[in-house]
Amino acid sequence: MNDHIPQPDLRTEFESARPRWLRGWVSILLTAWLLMVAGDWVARLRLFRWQDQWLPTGRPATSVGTGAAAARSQLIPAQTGAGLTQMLPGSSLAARYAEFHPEIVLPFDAWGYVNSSAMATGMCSVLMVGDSFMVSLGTQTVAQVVADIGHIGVYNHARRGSGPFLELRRFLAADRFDPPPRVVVWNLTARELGAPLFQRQAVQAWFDRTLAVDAQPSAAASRILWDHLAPAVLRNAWPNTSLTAYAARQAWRHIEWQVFREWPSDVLGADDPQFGPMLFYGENLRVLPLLTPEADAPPIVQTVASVAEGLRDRGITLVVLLVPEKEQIHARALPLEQQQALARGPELLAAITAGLTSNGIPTVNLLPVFEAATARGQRLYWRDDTHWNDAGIRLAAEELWREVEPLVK
Amino acid sequence: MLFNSYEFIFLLLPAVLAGYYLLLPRRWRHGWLALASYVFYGWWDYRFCGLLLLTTTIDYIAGGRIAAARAPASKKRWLTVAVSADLAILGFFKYYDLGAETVNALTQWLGAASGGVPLLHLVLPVGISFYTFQAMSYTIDIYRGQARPARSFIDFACYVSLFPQLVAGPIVRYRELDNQLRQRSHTWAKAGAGITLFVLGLSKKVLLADAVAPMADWGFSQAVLGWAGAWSSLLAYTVQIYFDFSGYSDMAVGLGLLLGFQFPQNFNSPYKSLSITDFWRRWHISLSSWLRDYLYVPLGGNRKGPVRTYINLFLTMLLGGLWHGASWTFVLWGAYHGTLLALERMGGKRGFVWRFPAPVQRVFTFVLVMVGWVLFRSPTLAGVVRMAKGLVGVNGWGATYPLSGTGALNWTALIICLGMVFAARNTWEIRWRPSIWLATVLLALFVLCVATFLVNTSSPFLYFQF
Repeated sequence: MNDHIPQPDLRTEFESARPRWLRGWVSILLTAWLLMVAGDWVARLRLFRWQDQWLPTGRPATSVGTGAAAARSQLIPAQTGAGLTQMLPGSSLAARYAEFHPEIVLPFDAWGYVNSSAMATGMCSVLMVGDSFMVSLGTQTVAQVVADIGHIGVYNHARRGSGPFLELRRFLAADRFDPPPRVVVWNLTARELGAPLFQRQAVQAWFDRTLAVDAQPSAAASRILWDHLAPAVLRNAWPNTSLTAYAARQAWRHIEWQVFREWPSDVLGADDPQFGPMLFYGENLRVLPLLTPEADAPPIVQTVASVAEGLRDRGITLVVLLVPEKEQIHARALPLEQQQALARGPELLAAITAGLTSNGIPTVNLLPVFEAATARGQRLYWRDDTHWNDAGIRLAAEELWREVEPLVK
Repeated sequence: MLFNSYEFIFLLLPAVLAGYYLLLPRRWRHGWLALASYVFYGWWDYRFCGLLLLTTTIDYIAGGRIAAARAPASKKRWLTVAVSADLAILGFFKYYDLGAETVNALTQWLGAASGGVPLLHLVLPVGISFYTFQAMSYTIDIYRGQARPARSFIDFACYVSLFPQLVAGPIVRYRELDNQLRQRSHTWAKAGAGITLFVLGLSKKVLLADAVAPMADWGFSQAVLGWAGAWSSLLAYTVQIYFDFSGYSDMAVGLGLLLGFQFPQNFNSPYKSLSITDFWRRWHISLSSWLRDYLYVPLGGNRKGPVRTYINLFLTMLLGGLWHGASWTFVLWGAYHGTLLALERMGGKRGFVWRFPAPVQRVFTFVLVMVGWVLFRSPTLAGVVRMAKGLVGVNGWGATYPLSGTGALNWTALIICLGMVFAARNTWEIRWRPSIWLATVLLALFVLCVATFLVNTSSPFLYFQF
């Protein structure tokens, strides 16, 4: 009854091999593959801490133990070069753009956030949520500078790579601040202000659910963030937290440069007429031109307004801090075509600011302030990184404090 | 889920093999494979799992009823119900919008008021054409007395959803797997051959097909295309589709061997064909033999005289073209091949091309197949015209895909592909021996493939957690 199925010749060859040899041959190949798989997963969990994105919130990270005694600090030694030079192949190319970064000591509290151990959650009047801009390569964070200027308690609830939403949602779900802060500052960087991002993650519904769950804090504290385990999210998250992928990208950058003399597609080097050599991030150059005030501002304003309302019900005022990207502030260093592509960025930030302000949400748009300071000759970003330097952090903190001061004093 | 994806290589496949060989008792193996296959399938969109389950249930019940029925009329009734239901699901999800668009265009052309049939913009369930044909073969074969009903629903669900060949074939008929589902061996020889075929298939897909894809994409997206650009990008697409599809089939067969199954060969050096008839014996063999047995032969095959034979060949290929996608370009592609097959049948051994030496016949057939791919690859009829103008030189010599920088890699891949197509034996013909040399080559190829698809799917490190 069964049809004849053609046999690949190679199977015949395998069948005629000595059994012990064949068993060893197959076992070696399978073991090599499984070691690669296991190594990648170990790196993901230990190095990239991918699980932090979805594990239950509201309790200290296991790596820092529990309680104030478990707080630790991390020493980042003085170095020449930063994030963008590390993406460049070859030290000679990187040397042109690298600059010196002094030693930094980052104090981590028991929950793994950059705060001194003396910062008790009950005594902060301002809490800042955000991602790498709030924990960047300056000698101080924005939160620390605001605390120094205002002589108030500022809790830094930001983590590197958390994106625009995660830390705000963690704060909402954890409910560990008693009394709650009077002001929450939400850091949104320009590249994140795209309607597709807000719509894809169905952010508003996401926050609404979190706010609703937070009515029962005990349930919220043990809740896994299932959204981060959806296939669509994992499809991006897994390759992006893979050591194999990282190694492969680095290798490809070297091949591109050494063999084809092509720059890596995700970094661009250019000379700013005023400040000299600078590196720019290819992903920002790709994403920023896609954003328009007409399409992107309305859904963002709507979502942020909804979150602000939820916070207002808890007696918290939301302040939005809009952070421009380096590519926008130093656009004139870029080729004309890219300058034109970035031309509408200021309009988008202005439209979001106007929309939020009309909804009664205090908003700090740093773009015009940064542009003016840069025109005066002040460099606010590192040459070799996407983030701001000490001068940028200082200026951002001063502008932010101007908006926050009347709310806390 | 794709074979060349992080989630498959680094999660699903190790989990499936661990469960299959180490963790679960033998009697749970088919259930485990069915579950893994539904995860594999639902990774795109979990809602489509319901559709897969529906088709599985319909054909399982119908197959059982056909086998149990004594009266021929009853058998026929159940067959009609099952085949109609299968085709209705396939037709609705795959062809509804094409039908609606066509009706609307026709009514508009005839001067009727606009509006007409509403478009539903349905998302096409991945692999629906493949698993529908597989499920249909079950009921039809039972009706014909060529297969036994499945032992259990789990066995049948495992057959229909079996992840190695679920979304892109080869189309495995139930009667080909019936005995294997009841009893099959798991040997080191099968595992060794399976690993070899999987890695070679992955390499064909990732290192060759994906490397020439930008050249093809470039050509088919140009508004105005010169002669050189048109032919080079068409050549790139010609080898891309072969290495992509045959690579996938090799991976499927390799994965099947790792799980103890033996799937049929799906490609046999099709571009070495001496005629279009020969081509269809070597290209997507599981589909062409399915169409032959379930469409061409029931239509009458070559039993009703030469004219009916030509008509049957044409109709079979026309529907075969439509099977590939819901677009009139696919129908035209089917009609093109149907016409060529009928013409060859008319000419017989005394046909014009047969008088020339084999290399000439081979080149002639290759060019005919290439021209057919214009219809297959162009998304619209306007695209077909655009490419055709380039091919006949209406726009002059024109530019080609860039040769400088990393573009040189794409050109190199194209040359390697052509060399392999014409001068090398295919993966099923080469007598691979389990040597240290082969193990080293396979490991190197595997690492290179994984690195390549990860570079293309991961974002820059800077925002890794975003």
